[in-house]
Amino acid sequence: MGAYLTLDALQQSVDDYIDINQKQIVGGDIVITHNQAFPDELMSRVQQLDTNQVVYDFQFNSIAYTQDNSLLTRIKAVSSAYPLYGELILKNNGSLWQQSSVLVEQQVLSSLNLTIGDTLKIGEKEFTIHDEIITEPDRPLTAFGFGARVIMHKSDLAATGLVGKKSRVNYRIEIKTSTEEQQPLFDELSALITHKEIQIKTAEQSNTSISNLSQNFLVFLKLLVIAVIALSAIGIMSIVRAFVAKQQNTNAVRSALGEKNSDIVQSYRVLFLSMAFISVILAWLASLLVIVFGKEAFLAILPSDIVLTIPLLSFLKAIIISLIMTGLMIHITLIGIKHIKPVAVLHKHQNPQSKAKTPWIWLLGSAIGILLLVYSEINSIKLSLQIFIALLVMWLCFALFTKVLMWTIKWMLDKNIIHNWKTTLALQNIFRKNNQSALFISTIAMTTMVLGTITLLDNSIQQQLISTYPEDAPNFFLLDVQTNQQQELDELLGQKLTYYPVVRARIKSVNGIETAELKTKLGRYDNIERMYNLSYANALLPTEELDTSLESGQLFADTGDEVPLSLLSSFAEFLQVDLDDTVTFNIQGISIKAKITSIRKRLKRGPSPFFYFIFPSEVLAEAPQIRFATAKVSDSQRVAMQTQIAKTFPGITTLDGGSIAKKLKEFVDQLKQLVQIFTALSIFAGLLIFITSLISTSQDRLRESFYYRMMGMVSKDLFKLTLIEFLSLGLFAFGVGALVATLLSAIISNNWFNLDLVIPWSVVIVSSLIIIMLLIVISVIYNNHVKRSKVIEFLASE
Amino acid sequence: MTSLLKANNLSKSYALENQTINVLKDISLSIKAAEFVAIMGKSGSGKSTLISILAGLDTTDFGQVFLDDKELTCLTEDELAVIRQTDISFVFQSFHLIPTLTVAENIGFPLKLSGSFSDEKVNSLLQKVELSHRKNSFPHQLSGGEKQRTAIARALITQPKILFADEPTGNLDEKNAQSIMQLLIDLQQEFKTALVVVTHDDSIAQLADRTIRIINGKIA
Repeated sequence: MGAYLTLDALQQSVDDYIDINQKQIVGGDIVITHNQAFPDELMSRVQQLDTNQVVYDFQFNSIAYTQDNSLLTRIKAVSSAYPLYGELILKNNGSLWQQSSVLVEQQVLSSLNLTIGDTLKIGEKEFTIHDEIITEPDRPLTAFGFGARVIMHKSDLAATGLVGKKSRVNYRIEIKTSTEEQQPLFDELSALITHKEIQIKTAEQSNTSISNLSQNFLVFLKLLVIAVIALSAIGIMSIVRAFVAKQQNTNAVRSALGEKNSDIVQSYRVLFLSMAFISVILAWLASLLVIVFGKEAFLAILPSDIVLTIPLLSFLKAIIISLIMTGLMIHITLIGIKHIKPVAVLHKHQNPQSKAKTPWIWLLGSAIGILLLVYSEINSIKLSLQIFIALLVMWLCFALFTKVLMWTIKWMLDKNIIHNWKTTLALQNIFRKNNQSALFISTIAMTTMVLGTITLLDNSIQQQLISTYPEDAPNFFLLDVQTNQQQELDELLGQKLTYYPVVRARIKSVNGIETAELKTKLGRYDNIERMYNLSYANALLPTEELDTSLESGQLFADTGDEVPLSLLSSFAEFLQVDLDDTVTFNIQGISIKAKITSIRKRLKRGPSPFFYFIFPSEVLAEAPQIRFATAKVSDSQRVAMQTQIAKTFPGITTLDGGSIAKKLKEFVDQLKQLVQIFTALSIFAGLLIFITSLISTSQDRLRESFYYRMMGMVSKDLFKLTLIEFLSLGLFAFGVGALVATLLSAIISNNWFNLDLVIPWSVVIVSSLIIIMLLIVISVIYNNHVKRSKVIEFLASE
Repeated sequence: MTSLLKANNLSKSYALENQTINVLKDISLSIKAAEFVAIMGKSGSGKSTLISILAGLDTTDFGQVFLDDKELTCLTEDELAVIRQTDISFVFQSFHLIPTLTVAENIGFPLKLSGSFSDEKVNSLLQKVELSHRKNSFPHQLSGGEKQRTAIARALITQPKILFADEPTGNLDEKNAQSIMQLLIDLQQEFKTALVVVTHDDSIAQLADRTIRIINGKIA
């Protein structure tokens, strides 16, 4: 509940942050965005507005460089009114704008070995670093982004010589207006916008990266925690059962003395619900500690200036969930008490709970409760059902797997396949009444499966893409290369670069169906309405192969009036198209209808360039285009090469594959850690079951120990029995989990990432040793407890 | 005949709510090999405590217990356990069979502990206690009499020097009680094992070679 409360509090805090700072995060009351200069009509109207109420904002990537150093940066050139909302906080609180000066984030200073007051060049202009940026009002999350931030005044932009040479400039206009004027102005400006690509939104309509994170990542973590809560519910059942089993005789006496069974049940209900309430108070305290002292762990998904609190609503939600869950679990578990016959218990005739029927109705109620909890987080019945069914199927699979495993052990015992009598005896103890071995194995196995899969996939991706960058893959990418720069670039780099022409276009229709209509029918693989990069070539890329084609072995075939098109298989799957289907493009105002003549497949995923759409050269050669180039440069040469290119061709943006992979790794690591922490909570649920199993079987275990000792078993052998039992239980559970995790990871990495599964043996060995050590420690503690319990005391109690 | 088991000046007390209860007061006794001794006394007289100390299951506050001149009262738990593997056995009122083992496995278990397991010995004992047809049954599938027969077979399979039986017929009906007691005596004589039975039942005491009566922690 502490984990749930923490996440709910974070989510509420993020929502509150967005509510309060929406205009600051978006930049204005009305925001217009485009990927090229705005049309004149629109600009004329905007220019009529008060200049203090309008910000013109241009953003693009460029290389900032000094005499012998360079760095990929994200330039933001703004007009004087910036920021309209919020505050740009600088280290020295200096004035924002000075001629020919820039504000930079710390990374720029550290990477280029500069201090405030030093100079650096961007494009063709030299700037003085005026101050260091601490926080930007409209960029609350800085954990991940390509390029360190550099802010300059818009008036300095022209001198850089970069505008016009860059293919990916984001043009923004941010407008501040009164509440009354907002809608009329919005309508008026909307009327002036004729290009579909230009987006106009009010602050309320704008999506922010932080709200997407709130909705996606935090909800994902909460779903993990809900799964843990479901497992904990089983743990609670096991605790209640153990507790009531220990008080069986007392209950029989109470019943024999005339107390109604319903009153006995009620007394338990009050006890456990009170404990649940106290637990939520403790959860609140734990959550408060995490929020106060553990905020660092959430830096990747939280703005640095967010105020974290635990809202009353979150606390109430936690209480309601906790009380309902505990109430249901108590009811299901205590149904058995109603069937207790005091005489049966006191005379030890039979298992008093064996006659209780399985409370299917209440189990169904619990399942519906979990479903509602999932629904409350994602607000989609279909998705909730899918998640719920997936969880249920996973649980059933593991339960079945465990059942088969237990059956196999039983079969081996019955057939005397195991000859060592101590092992046989220890394995027989796994089937001890109330041992809950199957429940323990399936719970821990599921947890191990989730954690194992995350670890294995992460390792496979890191080993093959990040830590060891593929040897044959390019590691240096050049954007916005002009055709006439190719030869000089080749000479500069001392190698023949691979150039890819890129033509920007949108999809108009597929087989005659408009994209707007298609959007609702296609999956989530991509956004069909976005801008795409087309390319042209007359041969396959070396990293691809033909899947199918109209003419055997040929990318293109004669298609009459339509132009031939080669499509990548993953995108063909997304578009649900095949050979002979048609796709119509809008290439900068010109409509081109293409027929699919071949479908290509990538041989291996990785950092090599690829294009969804490839046309014959003659179709696109004359279209406005830019070039994208790739090269393989040694680590030692990369910075010097980047600096040289920036000096010679300021318009070209270079991307260093290795450092991007490193940056991506840092970001993914932060998210991965959070996922691992919350998944690891399910280990507690498993341990809870294990401990309650020890409690509920403690009397049986003591009795067995007494038998063994009475017949002459020495303490060393007694310890061996406990150790073999615990080790078997633990290793079965972790083994099953690890096995499924390996299979699942192999399937995912082969099919989704086209990567081989790389098993991190060091992690496997260390984890196995930790698990074994843990089981040995539990065995030692338990054995000492047994040794301390005197045989004679047991005899007296019997 | 020399003494098999000898107890000298045994005393035992328990603390109970600031009060000391003297359970055994200066008890001395000896038991010969193959002798059948009944220990009788009222509830709370200390007879069960006495046989627990004699068998090395409990400690004394004062006094010594010797088995074949070996002092049990100064041995460690593990040293006592090794002696119980071969020399001392028990039969209890509540049977105390291992629930996860079959009848045959329960009977053969002490042999496994001492490393001398043999199917022949187990089958022979099964025949003697007339449980061959139940050898693969689990304890919860047996009647009270069958459970006690299994317990007796388990106690005698190692041919111990001495067998302690604490109210062995306490949980059985009269008919079963008689037959179990007879079985116990028959096997005791066959194996030449000393038998110490704690009982309330005068008819059982009459079968014994001698009877020791305990009153208020002392031998009467």
